Amino acid sequence: MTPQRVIAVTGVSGRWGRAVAEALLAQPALHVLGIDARPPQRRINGLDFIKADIRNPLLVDLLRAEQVDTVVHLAWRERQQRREADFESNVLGTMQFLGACVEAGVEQIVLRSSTAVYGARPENPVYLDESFPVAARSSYASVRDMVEVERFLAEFAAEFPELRLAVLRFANVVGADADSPFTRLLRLPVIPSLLGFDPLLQLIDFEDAVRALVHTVLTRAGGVVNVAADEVVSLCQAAGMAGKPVLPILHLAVYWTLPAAGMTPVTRRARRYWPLEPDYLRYPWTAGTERMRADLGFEPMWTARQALQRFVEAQRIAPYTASSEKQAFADDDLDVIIEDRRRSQPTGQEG
Amino acid sequence: MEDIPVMERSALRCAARINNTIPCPNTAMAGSAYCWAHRNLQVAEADDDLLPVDDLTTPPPLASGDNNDDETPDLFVDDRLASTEAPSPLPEDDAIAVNDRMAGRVDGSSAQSDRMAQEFARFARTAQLLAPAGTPLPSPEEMERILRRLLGPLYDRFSGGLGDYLNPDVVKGLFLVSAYLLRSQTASMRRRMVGDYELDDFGRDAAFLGVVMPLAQALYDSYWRVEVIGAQNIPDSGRGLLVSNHSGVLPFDGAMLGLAVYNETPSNRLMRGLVASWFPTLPFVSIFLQKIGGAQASPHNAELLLERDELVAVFPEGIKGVGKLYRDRYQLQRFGRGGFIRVALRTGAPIIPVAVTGAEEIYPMIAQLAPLAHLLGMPFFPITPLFPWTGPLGFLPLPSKWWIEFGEPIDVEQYGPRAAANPAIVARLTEQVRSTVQQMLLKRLAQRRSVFLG
Repeated sequence: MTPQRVIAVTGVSGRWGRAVAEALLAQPALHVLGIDARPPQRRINGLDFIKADIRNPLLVDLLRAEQVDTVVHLAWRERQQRREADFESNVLGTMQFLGACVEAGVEQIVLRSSTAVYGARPENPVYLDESFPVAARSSYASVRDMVEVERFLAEFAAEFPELRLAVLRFANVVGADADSPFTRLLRLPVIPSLLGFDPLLQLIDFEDAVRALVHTVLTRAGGVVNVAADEVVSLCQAAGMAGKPVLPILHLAVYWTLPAAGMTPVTRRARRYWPLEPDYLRYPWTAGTERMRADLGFEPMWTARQALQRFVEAQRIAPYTASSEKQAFADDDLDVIIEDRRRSQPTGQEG
Repeated sequence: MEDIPVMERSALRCAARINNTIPCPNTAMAGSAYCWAHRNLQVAEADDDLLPVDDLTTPPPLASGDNNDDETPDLFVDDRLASTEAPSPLPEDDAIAVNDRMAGRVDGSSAQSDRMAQEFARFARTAQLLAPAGTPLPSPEEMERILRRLLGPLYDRFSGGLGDYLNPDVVKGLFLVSAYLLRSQTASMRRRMVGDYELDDFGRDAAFLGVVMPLAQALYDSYWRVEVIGAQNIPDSGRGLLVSNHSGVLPFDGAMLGLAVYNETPSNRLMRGLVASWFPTLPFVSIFLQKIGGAQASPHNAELLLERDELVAVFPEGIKGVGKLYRDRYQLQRFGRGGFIRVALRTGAPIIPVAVTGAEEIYPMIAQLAPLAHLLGMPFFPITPLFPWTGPLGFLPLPSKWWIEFGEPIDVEQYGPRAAANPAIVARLTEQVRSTVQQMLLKRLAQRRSVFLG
């Protein structure tokens, strides 16, 4: 029997971790190790789940003992509001975990980031390529943490050149299972926008994003790569496709009131209606995807408008499929049980 | 409008006949066989020297013409038929209208009433056919009678005009055409509403261009009366870098330059303008520039566009150009850091110097308020004779006369792409282009007599 490649996926109970782990498990000759502080809500077929926090210092021993070859680090807490616990998990946790990976002799680390780290500013060219500085100055905790991690990664990669460190910077992720700032924006009943501004937005289908991560694992690629679908959509166009009314607000009013709203717990809720910061609804932050094609060799399956159309259609049928989904979950469970029993039999194929 | 002269009533009746049948009940004007309403007949008859002597006291019959229709004096109030029929509401040189009237006169009322009866009968028949089953409808004869009573008098008056519209085929055709127009218009609006339109990667919107272009064309042709000189220097295909002076607070000069390129090239070429980073921060301006094909002025964008063999316009003066005071007009500012030359050298694109004359005067900026600009995050806050005190009127650009002159292309390929790294070559070329544009401007200004008339 050929030695199996061992891949560890952190944050496996989250949307990203789950989707990536499932996609990796569909590949032959991979052993997937799922790491998370809490077990997944639904069992994942064939996943070797380990309950552990990424800051656990004993993870070095685990990674070494399991002879982990590649780590896909997807544990990430996404929040607008800054919280000490999230910062510790996101930034410090990632730093410690990456240190542990190097210590354990992991060959490849794959992380997910966002094109938001470039920052939205009026002087941005249409295609921000990977060499542009990570310069976002955001008041949103998630983007801030991501920028901090990215800066750390740049140093880290320079320090350990033998490590294949792949950072995929995704554009706005859309998909029925995705939860990104942009999907939160599109799920609002009325989409807020800045009066007189209609920025171009890049999208990527959630399935495409997962495929890109899997592709990176399989090709053992490294380096920073922007991942976005072809075409752009403007905010008004996206709102039109989603069938949502747009509420344009004078930009000065937003810029003055939004920081003030963050100061009291009651008004803080207003920021829920601005999942993307005003700058990101005003200035361009579209990224160049030349390296995605040339270096990574990845081609998204859907264009931006197709991805958005898929998302919108999934949103439309969501109210009608809630009950049938529960039934599907139940079937899934039985599936898992059958599979587990088959695997646990001593005369299995792994023999 | 001049007043109808006070006339003495003569005992004579007007000699004209309404519809060639009823005699005109009005009294004739003094010294004329006709009343005021039929004065044209007088002219038609009085070929040359038959004008009566006291005609000098009355206005020349044709001069006051048809425009007195609305103000028919009470003299004629008692006879509406006469006052509406005789002075033709149509222009005299309209051949069809004249023919119609002539035909009406010759055929007489019998042919006309025949036609009317035919059309009413046809209308009544069609109504019978179109009515849903079971509708209590009068018989065709009864209906024709009603129609005749209702529309008969009107038909008489508007024969040839409204008469055609009573024709069911015409009504049906009109309905179909308007239904089609309505459907196509609402369909295109609906497509916009549901986001079913395409943007290119720089956000240019072809459908938006189609809507805006006619408006811009009106500004181009009628408002600023743009005159293009040296159109043969615009490359019809292949890459090219237009380097222009910049003026006039808001980048109207860029839009007009784009339109000049569109109008003057056989292939109706669409130019790409590089816009200074201040404009994307302005509401509406940002959307507008993006949709008409603007791109943020950065070397990355310029190189990308030139690699795609596009025609790119740059305004190296940037904000300093649009924000200069009126007293500094037509004095070229520093041409940036020569970034556009480096881009041209790297991509081998020929440089076409462009001088826009006239755009400086659209918003004469008397002064600017630096503290207020700082507060609002603007590079300058303009004070013009109309802005900001007159509110929205302050955004109205003045109708100066414009010239857009395209100079001889400057070939930079001989220097090779490595020259881009040599600051000396870059500075020399920058100065060459700058002085070319300045010379073109001065030459044009020397010939200009008036800011607004040209």
